[in-house]
Amino acid sequence: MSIRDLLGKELLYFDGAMGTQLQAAGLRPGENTDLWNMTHGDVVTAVHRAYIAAGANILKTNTFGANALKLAGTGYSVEEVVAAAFSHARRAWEESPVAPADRRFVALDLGPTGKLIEPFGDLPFEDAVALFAEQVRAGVRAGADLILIETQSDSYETKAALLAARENSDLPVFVTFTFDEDGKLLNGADVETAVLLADALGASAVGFNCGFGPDVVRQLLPRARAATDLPLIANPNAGLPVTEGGVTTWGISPAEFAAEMADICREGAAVLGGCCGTNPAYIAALTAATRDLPAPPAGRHYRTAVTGYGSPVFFGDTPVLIGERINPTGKPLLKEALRQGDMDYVCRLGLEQLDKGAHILDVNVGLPGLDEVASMRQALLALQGITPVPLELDTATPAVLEAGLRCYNGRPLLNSVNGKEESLSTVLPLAKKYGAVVVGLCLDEAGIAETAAGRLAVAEKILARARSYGLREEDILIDPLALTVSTSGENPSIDQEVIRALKARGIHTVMGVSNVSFGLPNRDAINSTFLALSLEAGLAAAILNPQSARMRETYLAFLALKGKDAGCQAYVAEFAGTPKTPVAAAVTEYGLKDAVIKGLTDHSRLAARKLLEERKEPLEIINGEIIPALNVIGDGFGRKTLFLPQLLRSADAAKGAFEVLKEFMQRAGTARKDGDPIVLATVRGDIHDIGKNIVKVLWENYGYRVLDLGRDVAPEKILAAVQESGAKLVGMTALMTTTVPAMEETIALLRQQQVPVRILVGGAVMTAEYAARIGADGYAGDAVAAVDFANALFGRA
Amino acid sequence: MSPVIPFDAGEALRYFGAGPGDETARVLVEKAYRELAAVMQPRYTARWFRCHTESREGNPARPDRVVLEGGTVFHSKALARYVGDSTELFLFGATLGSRVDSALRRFAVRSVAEAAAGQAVAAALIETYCDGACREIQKRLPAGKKLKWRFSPGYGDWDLAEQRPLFRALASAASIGLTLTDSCMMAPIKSVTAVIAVAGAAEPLVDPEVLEAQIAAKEADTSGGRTAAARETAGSKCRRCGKTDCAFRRL
Repeated sequence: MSIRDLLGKELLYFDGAMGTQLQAAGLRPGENTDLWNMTHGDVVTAVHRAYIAAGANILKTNTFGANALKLAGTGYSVEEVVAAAFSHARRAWEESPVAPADRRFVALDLGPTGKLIEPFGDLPFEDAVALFAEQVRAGVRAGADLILIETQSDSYETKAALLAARENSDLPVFVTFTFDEDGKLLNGADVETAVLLADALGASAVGFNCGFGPDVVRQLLPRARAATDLPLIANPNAGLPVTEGGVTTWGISPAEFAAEMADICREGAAVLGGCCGTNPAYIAALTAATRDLPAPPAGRHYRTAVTGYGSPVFFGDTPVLIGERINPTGKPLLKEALRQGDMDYVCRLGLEQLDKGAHILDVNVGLPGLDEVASMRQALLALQGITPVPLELDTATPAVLEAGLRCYNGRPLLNSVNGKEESLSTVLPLAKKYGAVVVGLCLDEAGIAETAAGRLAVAEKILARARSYGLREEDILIDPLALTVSTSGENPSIDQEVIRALKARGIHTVMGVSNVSFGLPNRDAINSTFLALSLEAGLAAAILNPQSARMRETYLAFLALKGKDAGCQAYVAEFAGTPKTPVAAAVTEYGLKDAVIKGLTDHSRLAARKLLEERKEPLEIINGEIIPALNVIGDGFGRKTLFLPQLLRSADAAKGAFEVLKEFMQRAGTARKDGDPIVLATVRGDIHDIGKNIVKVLWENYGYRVLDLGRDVAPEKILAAVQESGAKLVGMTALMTTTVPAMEETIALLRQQQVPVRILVGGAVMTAEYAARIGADGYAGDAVAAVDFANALFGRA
Repeated sequence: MSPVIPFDAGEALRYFGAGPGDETARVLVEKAYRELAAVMQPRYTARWFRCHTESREGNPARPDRVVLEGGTVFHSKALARYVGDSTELFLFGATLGSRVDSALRRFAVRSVAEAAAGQAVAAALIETYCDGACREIQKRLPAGKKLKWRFSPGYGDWDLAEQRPLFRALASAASIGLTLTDSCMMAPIKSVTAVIAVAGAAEPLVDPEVLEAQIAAKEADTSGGRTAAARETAGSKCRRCGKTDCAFRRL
C-alpha cells in the first residue's frame, strides 16, 4: 500500500529526532551525523527500532545533510551514505515488525544544502536542484517509500528540492517548513506563501518541523489550513532548547508534548511526529495520546493566489493591480537597457510601480534580436533581488516561459495561454509542472469572438483543458480581452458581460485595460472609466500603468465606494494634503548647476527639462551645467570641505538630469553611443560593490560609457569585456584582503594577453604602493580620484 | 517577534561619513532605518567549546593557534593572544537576514546616496544587535565568568579563509540562515561571525586601552576621503584590533 492511500484517512506517525539521539550515543560536536551511517550503523538502527517501538510508522533516514556539498572530502558518496541509511531503517523494521506490514514506511530525509541560492548567496539555482536530484535518485534506488523535504527555511530552496524530487521520482513528497514565531521563513516567505508553493509544486502533504515547540505550531496551523487542502504535518521540537555549560536540555516533557500534539491533531494535522529534542518517550506519549482520534478531514479552502517570497496576492477580494511598464513596446530607454543588460533600469521601473501601489509586476523582455531566454532569467533574478512581490511572466515563447518558470522564486502568474491547440498543449503542462497561475486569453484559431457567448466558449475550452492537465479552475484567470474602443464600440460591453458571467461561475478575470483607448486623445479618461466599469462588473485584476494618477484615483475611489477601504483610510492616506499645484512650482527653482551642487534630484530633472524646452542642446547642457557642478563638488570633496553624503547626493542629482537628456535624445533619434567605453568590475570572490557603484555613477555623469560587469567577476570575463569593447580603461575594486589575489590574477591575465588597456584599482584594502606592486597603472582612493584618472587618460581634464 | 534593535543614528551617520550637522544625511539615514527595520530578521547563534592555545614552535609564551574541543584549529597569533588563558569560548554568528540584502539592493537602484546610507545603517544595526546578543549570552554564564569582546576572522592576522572551519564547527549557522560562499564571504552580507572567549573570575578582561598602547597606532584617513565601501563594515572596536593598516580603522 502506498502512503498516498492512507494520507488523510488515518493518522500517520513520524519518528522523533535522530541527531540528539546520536549525540546521546557519543556523537561529538561538529562531527558529521550522516557519516554515522557508515561508522555506527548499529546505533542508527537502534534509534530507528526505539521509534518503531514508540509507535512511529514513518522512519526518517539519517540523511539530513547527506548532499554532495556536505559529504565533500569525507571519502563517501551520496549514493553510499543514502544506501547505508536505508539499510539501517529497513533492518530496524525487519527486527521490530511492530506496525502492520503495509504500514512500515521509510522516508528519504532531505535537509537544506547549507548554502544560500543566488541572488542572495552564491549557489546557482540549478546547482541546488542537482544536489537534491542526486540524493533523490539514491533514495529511489534504495527503495524509499516517500521523500521528506524538511527544516525548510528558504522557499526558493524548497522549490529546488521539490523540482528535483518530482523530476527524479514518482514518490509522494512531504514538505515541512521551519517558521519563526511570526510565521515567517528566514527568506521572508510567510506560512501561506510557503504552503501554497509546496502545494502548487506537487507536494502530497505539507507542514511544520523544528524551530519551536508544539505551541507555536498550534498557533500557525490554522494559517496553513486556510491556504491548502493538503494533509498537514506537525513535527515540532520538544519546546525550546536551553543550553547551559554546553549541555542542551529541552523545554517540555513528553506528557506536555503529547497533550499539545493532540490539540494540533484536532485542529487539522494528520501526520504527527517530532524534531529536535524529542526521543522515543515523546513519540510514545504522542501515539498514546492520539491513537483514538479520527484523521482530520481534508480542507476546502483553496483560493487563487500567486506568490513571490513574501506574502501571497489573492484574487477575488480586493482587485489586484498588475504593473505593465516592464515591457519594451514603445519604450526606447528600456529597449536600450535590455540590449545592454542594464538590469538596474529594469529594477527601477519595477520599484516605481511598486511605490505607486502595484501588487504584481508584469515582466516582458521580448525584443527582436535579443536572447530572450537569457534576458528573462536576468530580469527575474534582478527583480527578485530587490522585491519579494509576485511577478507575472509575460512572453509568447515557450522556451522563455519555461526558463522563467524554472528560476522564478515562488508561484508566478503566467501570461498567457489562449484557446489555440498549440498554446494549450504547450503552456498548460508547463504551468502544471511549475505550479503557475495562468492567464487564459479568450481567443483561438477563429480569432476573437464578437460576442460574449463566443468568448465564454473559449474560456470554457481553456478551463476544460486545464483540468485535463491536472490544473484546478482556481489556477486559471480569464482575460476577456480589451479591444480598442475607437474601432470596436461594442467591445467594452462584451468584456463586462464576460466578466460577470465568469464571476457568477466562480472564475476570476484579469484584463489589460490600457489598450481600450489606443488611438484616442486623453487616454487616461477612457482608461480610468473603463477600469471603473470593469471593476464594477467584477474584474479581479487589472494590468495597467500604476503611475497614471488618474488610474490610481479611480482605483482608490472604487475601493472606497465599494466598502473595500474601511473608513476610507487608504483614500485619505493617499490624497489628504495633496497640494493643488505641483510641488516644484511652489518652491524655489534652481538652475541645473545649483540643483546638482545642492544634490536636489527632483530639481535637477526639472531644470534639465526646462533647458531642453529653451532649445539648449543636450551636449551644451552637460558641458555647461552638469560637468562644472560636478567639478565644484569634486573639488570640495578633495579639499575635505564637503563630505561623502553630499558627493553622493550630487551624483544622484546629476544622474537624474542625465536621464532626462538621454530620454530626449533617444526620442529625437540623436542618441549617441556616447562616450569612451570603460570596463568596471568588483573582482572574483568579492561581493562588496557600493564603492564600485559610486564610481560608475560618477563616470557616467562625466559621459563615459561604463560597462559594469557587476561583482564577483572572473578574470576571464573582465578580459573578454575589455577585448570586445576595446575599452582603454578598466576599473577594478576589491574590499577584502582575501580577494586582492583575484585582482592581481586579473591584471596578470590582461598583461599576458597584451591587451592595450590601462588598469585602475581601488577599494578599501588598496593603497597606491600595493596597486603598483600588483601591476596596476593607477590607484584611486575614492570616486573623485577615479574620475580624475579617467579624464586625464582621455584628455578631458 | 523579531527583536527590535536600538538604533544609534550617530553611529550610522559616522559610518556614512556625514559632516557635522548634515540634516539631509540624517533624513536619509532615518529613512533607511525605517525601511530596514521593517524587513530585518535578526538572528544569532552561539556554540560553546572548551579550548586552549598552542604554539607551533613550542613556546607557550607565544601561542599561534587556538584548538577547540572536537578538533577545530584556528591559526592566528592575534587570536591566540586574544584567547590567552581562557579555557572556554563561544563561536558566534549573527545576521540581519537576507531581506536586508534585498532592501540594500533596492536602495542602490534608487540612488547612490540612499545605498550608502543603507549600508551605514545596516552596519550600525548589526553591531548593536551583536552587542545585545552578547549581553544575553553573558546573562546565562555562571557568576564570575565574563565574555570578552568579539574577535572575528579578518581581524589581525586571522585569515578570512578560516571562516570555513568556523562554519563547520558552528554547525548551527545554517539554522539562522547564515551561510558562507565559496570565496568565504558571508551571505546574507550583513552578518558577523566571531570567537568570544570566556574569561574566568581570576583573569582580568583584556583592557582595550592596554592593547591599543601595544599597537603602533596609525591614523587612517576616515574624514570622508574614502568611499562608503571603506566604511561599510567598520566597527566601533577598531582600537582593539592589531590590523593597523585596515582601511576601516578608526582610532
